[in-house]
This record gives sequence, structure tokens and C-alpha cells, in this order.
Amino acid sequence: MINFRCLYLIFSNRFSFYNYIKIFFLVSFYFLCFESDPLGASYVNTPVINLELMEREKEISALLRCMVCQNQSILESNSPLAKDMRSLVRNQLIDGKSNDEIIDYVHERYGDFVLMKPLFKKYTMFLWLAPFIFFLIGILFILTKNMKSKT
Amino acid sequence: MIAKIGQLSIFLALISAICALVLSALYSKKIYFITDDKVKLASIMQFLFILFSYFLLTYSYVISDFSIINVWQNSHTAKPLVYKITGVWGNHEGSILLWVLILTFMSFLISIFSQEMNKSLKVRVLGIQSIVTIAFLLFVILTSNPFLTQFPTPLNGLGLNPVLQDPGLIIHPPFLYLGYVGFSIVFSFGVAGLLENCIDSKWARWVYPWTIISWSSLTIGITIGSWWAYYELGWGGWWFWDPVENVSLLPWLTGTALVHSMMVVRNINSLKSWTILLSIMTFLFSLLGTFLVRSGILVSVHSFAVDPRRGLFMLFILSFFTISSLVIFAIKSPKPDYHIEYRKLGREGLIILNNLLLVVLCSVVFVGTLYPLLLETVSGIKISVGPPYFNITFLPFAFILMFFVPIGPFLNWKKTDLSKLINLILLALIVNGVLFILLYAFIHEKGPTLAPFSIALGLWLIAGSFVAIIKRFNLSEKGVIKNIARIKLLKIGSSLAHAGLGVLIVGVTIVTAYEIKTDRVFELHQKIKLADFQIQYNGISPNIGKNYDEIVANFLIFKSEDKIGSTSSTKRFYRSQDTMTTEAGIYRHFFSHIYITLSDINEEYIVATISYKPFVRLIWLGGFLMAFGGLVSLVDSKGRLRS
Repeated sequence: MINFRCLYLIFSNRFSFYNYIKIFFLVSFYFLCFESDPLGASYVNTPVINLELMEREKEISALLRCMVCQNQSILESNSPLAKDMRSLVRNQLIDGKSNDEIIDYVHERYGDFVLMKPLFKKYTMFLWLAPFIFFLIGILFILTKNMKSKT
Repeated sequence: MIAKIGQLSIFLALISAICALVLSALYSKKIYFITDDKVKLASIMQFLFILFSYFLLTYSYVISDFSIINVWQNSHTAKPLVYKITGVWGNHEGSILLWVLILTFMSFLISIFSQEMNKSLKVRVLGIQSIVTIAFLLFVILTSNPFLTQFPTPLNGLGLNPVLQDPGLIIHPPFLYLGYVGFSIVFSFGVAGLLENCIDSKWARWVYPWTIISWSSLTIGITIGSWWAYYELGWGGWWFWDPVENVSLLPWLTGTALVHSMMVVRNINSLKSWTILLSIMTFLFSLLGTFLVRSGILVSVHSFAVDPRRGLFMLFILSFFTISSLVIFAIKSPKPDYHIEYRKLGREGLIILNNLLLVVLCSVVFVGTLYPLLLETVSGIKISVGPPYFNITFLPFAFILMFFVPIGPFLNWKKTDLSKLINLILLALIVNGVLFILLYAFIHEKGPTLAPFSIALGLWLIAGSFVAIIKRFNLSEKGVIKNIARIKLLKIGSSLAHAGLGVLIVGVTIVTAYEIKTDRVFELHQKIKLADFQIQYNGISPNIGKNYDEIVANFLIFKSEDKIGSTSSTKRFYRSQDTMTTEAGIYRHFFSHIYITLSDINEEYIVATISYKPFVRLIWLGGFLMAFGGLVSLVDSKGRLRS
């Protein structure tokens, strides 16, 4: 989030008194609202890591949901929360944790909703098995029709 | 005044639709003084009335008549003219009116054209179309009237959602609706055929063009939607497995199955009841999509103002059509002709396999989209079903399907030629194996092993379709030119569509597996390396648009130290809505893109996400090729529309 209005006023040569007042208010509003580094700079400032870790960071990020977005993983999302979560993942990677450990860590804190790939549990059984059940039913259906037609 | 006339016009359309329904019912009772001309006239009147009211609504948008609530909520005097016109369907009421407009336009086309069609069938079709029209007109009048007025008239409107002020929006909804609504014609034909008991290859010949047109429009609609999401939402993704996208994929998958099974009905007069069931299901999925999106159950840019009455009414329409059509199907469905339906492993055998796999794919999308909603309602447990789920469950079946697609066109109808089939499958295995090894050895560096496998399948699809097209030209005879006149464009079209699928798969796989994406801090004139390119940040400049202010960050693109182009990424501030959007900077390099979005602008530096998306344009090229193939197959060798 940048203070867009303010920048615009500065850049376009419209420096009237009225605009000066406006900029003052916009700037103060800006500091009131976004004191605590909303730009995700914390992510940008995290240590640069090697390629292998970067690949793993991508892999993990694709599996975690950005909790405030509409159906986006933290890999795709540009929201501040997603950036924070990514820097969390990165720091844990640097600490030498394995992919599963990191995912478990996030899962413990955010619950099932954070996992883009639902766990295989009692209540997601149907979700995971449905395609194969439908496929089998379809094949059985065609075969029984075929049997009937031969008799 | 305009509002009153518009409203009246909608009422008159409703009355015409009721007339058409009653007349068609009386016609099939063989009451002597009712002729098919009267039903036709009533259908034409429906269209004219809706067209008139639609025109009036557009006119009020153009002149910014804010006494109409709908215009006030979604328009603004400062909005560019083109978005005033397209903004009519950028909101709930207007888009439903557009839906009805296309629906009645279809009835209009049926009543004007298709002269050689069986009269009683045609009247039935028009009658059933009228039922759909009545349902939607009631929906418009009772829950989403675009002509509601207010007093006093506000000075200016609230403006259109900035995300929707985009060329993508101009064409995406009309095509999508043409697809959805087109399948309502196929549905009407199906139910009318059941009632008239006349489902045979002749019936299929009449419906076929409608099916293809709807399928092609839906394909174009989805493709444009994906393209729009890609560059407008600024996430750089082309498909998110988002619920709203998924529900548009449901009718597409069953529609694709329908296009194929209809060929079986057309050519060997078999697989009839299944085809009818597919045509009913396709339309029901279109309605389901509308219900889920419009009711606000699925939250997205598509769910405008949420009103529980609308959801309830849509649910009512959905259950009405589901129950009534399935009951008619259960009673009237033609007895399957066992002797010819499933026996032979000819081309129809592979089409049955195709249908099975497409329906399974459809069920994957259906379950994956609705299961979390259902689970939350029943037990309160919230889960996410994201791309990883769909990749695991969708891809295996899709791969099997793609393996068999190029084989089908080489088989004959009604003939089991086992040795030929086995030879073709062996050929497919060898070609795919060789391609996989070559790709793995020479191109593949990182990423999943699945990538070369999937690219190989895509290339196999393209190559197979290419061979099929060559074969149609029949080179062994006197010369290519002479034979062109005799080529059946139907077959060329289907091969083009298959090739389009291959192109799509290749694009999807390459961009998913080999994309490079990083967040970088740019200082002024700093060069950053991305794949084979360097990107240089060249400063920011302000810019004032018609209804927005923006800051433009300029970038230069270098390849091996030579400047090859430039692009700019912007942050836009829409004055009338007080909202900010990010416009991605896209640099095109053959089929690939360099995609830049800004996340932070400062005086000294900017933070941007830069990504290199190899061959990403193949995705949309493939989509359009598929739709084009469909349309080509409609035209026969003499350039006429094939009926």
C-alpha cells in the first residue's frame, strides 16, 4: 500500500496551497494507518537464500493458503499477510527444517483451512475418493451394458 | 419516462413468452386454427421487446440518467463511453438482462431460420425456450429489475468497479453467455425431442450446429476470462481453480462430451438416451453456475450486490428445471438400442471412453468445488480445496484422455478393427516415449518430471491432428488442389480443435513448470537479470487518465546487452471509487511474456515482482484454436452452414 494520492500530488506540478494542506493530511493519515511496515519490506529484507532453498520455498508456498485472499496460495498472493507467511517459511527453511515440519508448523497455528491440499481424513474421504469411485461406476456401467447386449 | 417504457417492454416480452408457451402447447394438441406461424411470431416479439428494453437501458447509461438506480450505482459521467455501453452488463441486473436478450435472440434465430426442420419439433422447441425465458423474465421483474427509479436524482453516479473497466470485460460476458444460453437451446431440443419422440440422426443434425456454436462460444468466453484474469488481476495466473472458474468449466466439460456423443447419434443413430442426458446436464450446470455465482455463495468479482431473494429465486429456477427435465427424461427416454450401442470398439467405442473420462473430470471439478461448501454447512469445518487437489485428481484422467484423443479419428464407425487399434496404441506409446526421452534429455533441467511427460502428450496431440488433416487431403490422388473441394471441413475442424487442445497443454505445462518469478528491489537505472533477459528500472512518471490518476514505472528490457523493448507497470487510483488497482506491465517476446507488477513505490527505490513466463501465450492460442476448429466444422466444403 503506497500513499498514492500524495505521490501524485507531488509529481504533477500542482503545488498550490490547497494541495499542500492535502498532502499534509494524507501524509499524517499515512503514518497513522501504516506505521508498522505494511509494505512487506520484512520479506524483501530477509536474507537471500540459495537456489535449492528457493525451490523448496516455492514448493511449500504453493501448498499454503493466504488466509485473507480469495482462494490464493501465498506463492501467488501479493498481500502483506502472504508476504509475512512467506518470510516465516523462509526463516524456517534457513533454520534447517524439512518441508513437512514447516507445513505442520503452519498447520498447527492456522488449522485445516490453510492447507491448499486437504488432508486425507474421515471427513475428506469422499472428496479424495470420489473421482475414482465415479470412474469405476462408469466402467462397470459400460461393461454391464455390454454384457447385456451380448446375451 | 425511459424507465417506465423499459419496464413496460419487459412486461410485454413476458406476455409474449407466455403466449408462445400456450400456443405451442395448443399446437401440439392439434387444434386446427393454431399454426406454427403464430408461435414463431410470439417468439420474435419476445426478442424485439427485450431488445428494445436493452437498448433503452444502454441509452440511459450513455446519457447518464441517474434517476435509474441501476445506472446510478454502476456508472459515472466521467466514465469513457465504451465502458458506459459495456458497463450495462458489468452489474447483476444488466447482465441478467443480457442473458435474457441472448436467450430470446436464440429463439428468434430458430423461428427465422432452420426452415427444413420438422414443424412440430420446432414449435415444441420454441415452447420450451419460452419456459426458460419466462423463468428468467420473472427473475428480472421480481428480484433484479434494472429499471427501478429513485427521486431526487443524484448529481453523479457511484461508478463501475475499476477492475471491470477493461477491454476483457467488453467481450468476456457476451461470449460466456452465448455459450451458457446456447446450451439452453440444446436442452430445449433434447426435451422437445423426448416429448415428440423423434430422437434420431436427423434430430442430431438439427441440434449439432447449435451445440457447436454454444461450445465454441463457451470456449472463447472461458479463454478470454482467463486472459483477463491474467493481466488485469495482476497475479499473473491464468487459471486458479477458483470456484467461479470451476463452475464455468462444468458445462464446458459436459458440453465437450456432448459434442462427441452427438456425432455418434448423427452418424450411427445410437447412444441416444445418453446424449439427451448430457444435453440436460450441460444446461443444468450452466444454471448451477449462474446460481452459485449470483447468489453470492461463491464470493468473487462476479458476485455483485448480494441479495438473498435472488439466490432463493435462482435456486427455485434451478430445482424446477432439474426436477422437470429429469422426470421427463425418466419417463420418455428412448429405450437403448443395445445391439448397436456398446458392442463395437470402433470410433464410437473411443467416444464412449472420451465421454466417460470427461464426465469423471467434470465430477472431479464438481466435488472439489462444492465439497468444501457442503462440509462447512453440514459440520462447520472449513477446509480449502486448492490447485494441489485438482492436480492430483484431474491430471491422471486428463492424461489418459489426451493419450487416446488422436487415435479416435483414425478408426471407423461400427467396426471393431482390433489389430488397427492395437497398432495405433503401440504407435502412441512409442511416439510418446521417444518424445518424453528427447524432452527429458535436452530441455528438462529442473521442475517436476511430469513436465516433459505432459509436453510429450501435447505434442502427440498436435502431431496426431496434423497427420489426420494431411490424411483428409488424400495425397495419393491427382493433386492436392483438386481434392480440396471434396474435403469435409467437419473433420478438419475437429482435428484443429484437437490440435488446439495440444497447444493449450504444451503452453500450460511449460509455463507452470519453467516459470521464473522473484520479488526484487530496483534502484533507479538498476539492471536485474531474469532468465536470458535483463530488466532495467527507468524511473516513474505520473499520468492522468479520464477517471483515474496513475503512477507509471518504466522498465527497459535487454537481451544480451541489446535493448529489445520496454514496458511499464502502473498503480492506478480511481477517483470516483477511491480504489487502487495495479496494472501489470507485460512485455511480449514471441510466445513468452515478461510480467512485472509493482508492490511498492518510493522515491529511491521500487519493489516489483518480476516473472518470466515462457510460452504462456500458447494457452490462449490453444483455446482460440479449439473454438475456431469448432466453427470450421460447421461449414461444409461449399462454404454453406451445414445443417
